[in-house]
Amino acid sequence: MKLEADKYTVEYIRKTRMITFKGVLRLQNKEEYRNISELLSQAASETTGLPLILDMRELVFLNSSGISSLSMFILKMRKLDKEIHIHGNSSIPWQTKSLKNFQKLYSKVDITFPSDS
Amino acid sequence: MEKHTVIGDRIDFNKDVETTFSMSFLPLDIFDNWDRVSSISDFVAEYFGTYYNKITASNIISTIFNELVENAVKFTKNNSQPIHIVVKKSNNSFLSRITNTIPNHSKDTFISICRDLFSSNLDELFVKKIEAGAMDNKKSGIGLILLKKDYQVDTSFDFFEDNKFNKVAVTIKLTI
Repeated sequence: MKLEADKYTVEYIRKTRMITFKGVLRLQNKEEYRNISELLSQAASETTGLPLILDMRELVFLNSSGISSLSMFILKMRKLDKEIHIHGNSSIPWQTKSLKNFQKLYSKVDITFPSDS
Repeated sequence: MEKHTVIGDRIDFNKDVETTFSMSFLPLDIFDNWDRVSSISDFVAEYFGTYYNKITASNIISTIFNELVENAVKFTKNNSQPIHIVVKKSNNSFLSRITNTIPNHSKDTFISICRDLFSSNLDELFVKKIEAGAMDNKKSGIGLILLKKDYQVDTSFDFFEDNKFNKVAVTIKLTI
């Protein structure tokens, strides 16, 4: 399942339990993030046993409405008691500064910056 | 006499200014052309980013500036009134002031949000806003929290009346 627009793509591959975000996500409000939220919800419902992986390494910008929408998804995963692994990019400032907020919402969010390892 | 309500950090907007520019725009159709907010942010970031000796300067400026312009557009009272932007570079600081009109009915709410920013534990405020916002698809309300909490941006809000319009000037100082 893939959502594509001029500035971004979000792709969910069920087999690898991975959702990959690329580009610039600066949509107007949470309502505009609805399609992405629905994709995330589908992935959440289909993932059992192993963690769902969010690959953010090529997501250059995410505005606060996007962080808010993803936070809603984190709360949903908390309710379902399912783990999340986030792959970040340490050269993208919003990721080093703001990804940790998801861990404040849910302790079963694991964040790694693969380029550092 | 103008009545001002000032909330936030002390920022000297005129100290040691090395370069500056200003612009104004009418947010007439910007909700239908939302990418223009990003275009303004990226332009400011590219223009100012090269002044700083840090590879991520442009990205950080764009991220912060985009939140401020989004807020100005969303909160503005009247789309026929311009949003004014002033940007300055001073030593290792990036400063900006964005001034827009705000509707009467939301002024007190906005003032209350600003006061919370300076009287709360911001990590707790973030979690509280997210958990409270689960049912509200329009509003996010966490942009200013993130700027202060994650980017340590000094922020000041000046609410005042100008020619019968309620306005707010949001001034920020970011050390790069």
